[in-house]
Amino acid sequence: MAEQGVVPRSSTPVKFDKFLREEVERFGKIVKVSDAKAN
Amino acid sequence: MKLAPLNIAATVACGIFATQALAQKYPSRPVRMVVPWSAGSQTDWLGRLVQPKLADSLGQPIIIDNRPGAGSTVGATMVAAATPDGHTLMMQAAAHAVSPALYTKLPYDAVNDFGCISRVGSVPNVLVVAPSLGLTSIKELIAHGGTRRGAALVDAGEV
Repeated sequence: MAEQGVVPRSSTPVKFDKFLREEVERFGKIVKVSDAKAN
Repeated sequence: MKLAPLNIAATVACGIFATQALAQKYPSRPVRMVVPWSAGSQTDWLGRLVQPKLADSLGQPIIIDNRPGAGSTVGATMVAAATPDGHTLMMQAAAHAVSPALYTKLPYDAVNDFGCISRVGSVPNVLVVAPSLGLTSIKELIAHGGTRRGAALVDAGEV
């Protein structure tokens, strides 16, 4: 993984679920503030 | 030219599980791993890295199914609609968390229509500009954008 520049991550389903919810919220704010549009 | 690493993209893997399926022998047949990105992409590479060991561990072949399109929402739509018995998995990227805000009509709930299994790895993003612009920092880039009319066009890799 390191050769490809990837940092290995592991998590439990519960922790990953929490992470995903936080990421959706975080990126949601970023998209809103930046007014980014899919093209 | 300066490269600014932005460590915001975390590759994630999602799978669908139904609790009732766990009472039976799992997996009872080959498992499909949908990769909503093209073959050779970073996420595809991670899927193929995990594939042989996961197949060994589960005792069934893992079939990678590349379904790229519309910022990964085409493949994710397929996975969301699949029978939730654990035989359809998805190797996904950070775009999954961006899509709900970016696409107004997403045919799935990015959180509740998927059962999370595990994160796999995180990758850095890089921000680059044409050297002819002479910009060497994000501050200069923002100032440059502010002096121009219209919007900046950004290619965010897998987003």
